[in-house]
Amino acid sequence: MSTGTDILLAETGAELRKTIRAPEFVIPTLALPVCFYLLFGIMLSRGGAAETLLATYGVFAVMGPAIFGFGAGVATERERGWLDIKRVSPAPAWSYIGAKLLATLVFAVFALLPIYVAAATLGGVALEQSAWLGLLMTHLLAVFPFSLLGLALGFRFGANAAIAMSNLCFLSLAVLGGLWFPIALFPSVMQGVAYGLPSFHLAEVALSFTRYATDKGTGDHLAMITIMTVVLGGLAYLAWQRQRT
Amino acid sequence: MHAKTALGALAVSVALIVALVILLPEPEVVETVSGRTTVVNNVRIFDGSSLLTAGRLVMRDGKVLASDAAIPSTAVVVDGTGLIALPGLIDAHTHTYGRARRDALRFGVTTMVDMFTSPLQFQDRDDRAGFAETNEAALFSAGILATAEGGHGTQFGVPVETLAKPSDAAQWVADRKAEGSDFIKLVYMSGNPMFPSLDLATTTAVIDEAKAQGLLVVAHIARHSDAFDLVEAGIDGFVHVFADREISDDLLQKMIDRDVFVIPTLAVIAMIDGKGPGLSVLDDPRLSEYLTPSQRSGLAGSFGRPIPGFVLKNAMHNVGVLHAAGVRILAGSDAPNPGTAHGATLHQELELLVESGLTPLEALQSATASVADSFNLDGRGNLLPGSRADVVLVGSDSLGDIHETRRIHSIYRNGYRVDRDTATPVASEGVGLPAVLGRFEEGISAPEGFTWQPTSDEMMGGASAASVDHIRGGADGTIGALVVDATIKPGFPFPWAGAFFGGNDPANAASLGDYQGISFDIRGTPSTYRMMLFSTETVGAPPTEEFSVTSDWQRVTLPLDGLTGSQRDQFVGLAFVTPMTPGQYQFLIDNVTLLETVTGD
Repeated sequence: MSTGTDILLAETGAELRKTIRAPEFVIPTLALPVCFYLLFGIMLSRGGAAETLLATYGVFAVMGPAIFGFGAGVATERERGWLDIKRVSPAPAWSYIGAKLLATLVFAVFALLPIYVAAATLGGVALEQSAWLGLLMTHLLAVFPFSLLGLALGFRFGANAAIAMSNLCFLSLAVLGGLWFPIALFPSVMQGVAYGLPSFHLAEVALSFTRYATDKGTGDHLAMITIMTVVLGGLAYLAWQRQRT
Repeated sequence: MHAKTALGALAVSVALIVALVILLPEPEVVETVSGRTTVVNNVRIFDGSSLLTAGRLVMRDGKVLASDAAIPSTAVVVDGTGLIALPGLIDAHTHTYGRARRDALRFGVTTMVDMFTSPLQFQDRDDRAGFAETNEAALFSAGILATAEGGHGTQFGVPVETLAKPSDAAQWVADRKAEGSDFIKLVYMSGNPMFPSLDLATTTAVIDEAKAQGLLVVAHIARHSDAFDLVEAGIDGFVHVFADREISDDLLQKMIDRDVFVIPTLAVIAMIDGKGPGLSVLDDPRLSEYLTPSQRSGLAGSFGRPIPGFVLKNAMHNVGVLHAAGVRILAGSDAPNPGTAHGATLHQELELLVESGLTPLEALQSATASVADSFNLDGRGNLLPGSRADVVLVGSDSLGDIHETRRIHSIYRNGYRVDRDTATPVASEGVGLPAVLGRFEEGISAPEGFTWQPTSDEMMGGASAASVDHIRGGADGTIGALVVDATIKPGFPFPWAGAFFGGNDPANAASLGDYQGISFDIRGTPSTYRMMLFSTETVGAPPTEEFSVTSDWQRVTLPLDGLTGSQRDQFVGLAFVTPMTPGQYQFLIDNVTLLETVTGD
């Protein structure tokens, strides 16, 4: 095992331990999406929306840890000077980001787990194995654009401002992206906004694995997600450059 | 220590993903049909008998549902304002070869009731029970018809098992049933000068046997007197209306009493009577835009001269009288006869039925519910819940004018929207041909599935004759050649005699692939000979190339460009024939070879 991998794994482990030691972050972040799903996807819709909301709430569940873990987390660490220490330590800068990404992926799995189980047991959702896998991969894919968004916020804003901005982005992406209600219910201007949000395109890809696939090509949505991820990566890089000077 | 934590967490995550994918429930065997749904809102529906006020037409998984059926969010929604939904039209009299089922569907004919075709056409009829996407009309057919040896129906090149006596009937009907015939069609033309006919005793035996074996039985007749005989014998329906005279009260009363239906085929009678309706279809842009080139040439064709006994005026009078008396009238085109085209001509027939006294709605009924009822086509001909989602949307709001049926907005077949583009590429249906068609070294050899045989106008009632044999002494010192003895005698307007190369089954087409030309060695009675090309789409005179023959061997190279477009994939055969001048001819032919390039010589 190379030194780079060692460092990355060590940092990931530390990141995970740090996260677990903050139950006030872990519990709400893991519990909120599944509670929402149980309420709207299963109880209020009597199971009728269990399949569509599994697709969209899965994206929602991943968004929380990705945006907040990075956004507010990075801003706090930066304000406390932890990043300055990191910068003079022998660990490469990418391992700091890489570890956070890996930890977020692990976290995402645990956030998705109860929703999937609820959907399958209480919601009666049944999909082909390939569809379950595709759905899960799509939801995990969501870690990347949202983490980069959080990173950009964390580098750009101070700790307090980052929390506010993360909240704003989190709720906008959830509501306007159609994760809570289908965008068809929105006025057409708001529907136009959805097309500019990664959450919408991720939800559409996720829906393509269910029986409620919409007609627009999944390839187009994947292309939009890729473009947005690259743009967000660019923004994160600029914010990183800026805070260094 | 931290690294171990990370590895552990990652391993647990991957394990959870794998466990989720494996353990999460899969759907129970998914029902074979998906939830594909099309909803046409605010559309007036002709349900097969009457025109309803604007409402909702729901098509799901290939069937029509009640208008208040639940609509999934994935449904395709069509605004039907200003449109009328008709059940897919049913053509009650067709002959189905080549692209017929595709051609018919482009004009809203979703079901064809065929009155004589080769049973080989029955191979692809899964769509009748299923609801898969298809670009072809459904086919119900009589298959082979019951006729006398040399009688009407034997002149088209399809092998026909004929009947000679009443005791043949039981086995004959059983054979048709085994082949997949949906009903029985017989030909009864007593005293006809052109064709021998079954006698009344044999005809009656066929009718009795068909009924005994549970099959509907219909008849091709020529004259009023034929109809009289068969109504007495218990026929279920006639596939043409008699046009030699106006109907007698006596026959009318008998037809009412026996509940006999009639498929008048007025469009074809009009053609035979020289009234040429084919051109009015060609001139109507609502129809002509969707015709293929071969359909156009079919519509421009004619029978040549009026045939005695086919008077359109009598035919239309009889239709009017029969209809007024309550006799069921069914719309049939008899395509692809000269002057007709699959699909398009049914719209012409509807117009002629209206001119004969049916209202537009009654005419539509004659092309939908009445045919379905008469031929027991369950789930077709109406748009009641549970019926098949074969639907024609027309851009009209009243149907007060029967021509409105030509204003087709869209067509649905099994609930799928039909592509009406005539240029829709056709998957090559024909088998490929090897380059060498005949070398004749050891005998009359031909590629697998093909034969060389004599051909003459005898099959069309002419007096010419031909025979073929193998002879030693071929071109360029080869061992053998094909020898053709031909006698041309007057008796047919365009006499011919010679040798025909083609598939063992004329209904099976081959593909010419990349072949552009043909070469062969020939010598014989000096004159100008002809090569004719045939495809399943050939209507009227086939494409012909002329060439000179001398008493010495010479090599002739001819182009194959007489067949164009889709005809090249529908190659049936070719013939080398003598001039039309009466006389005795003998010619030898050898080394018949297809060429991929034709160099001018």
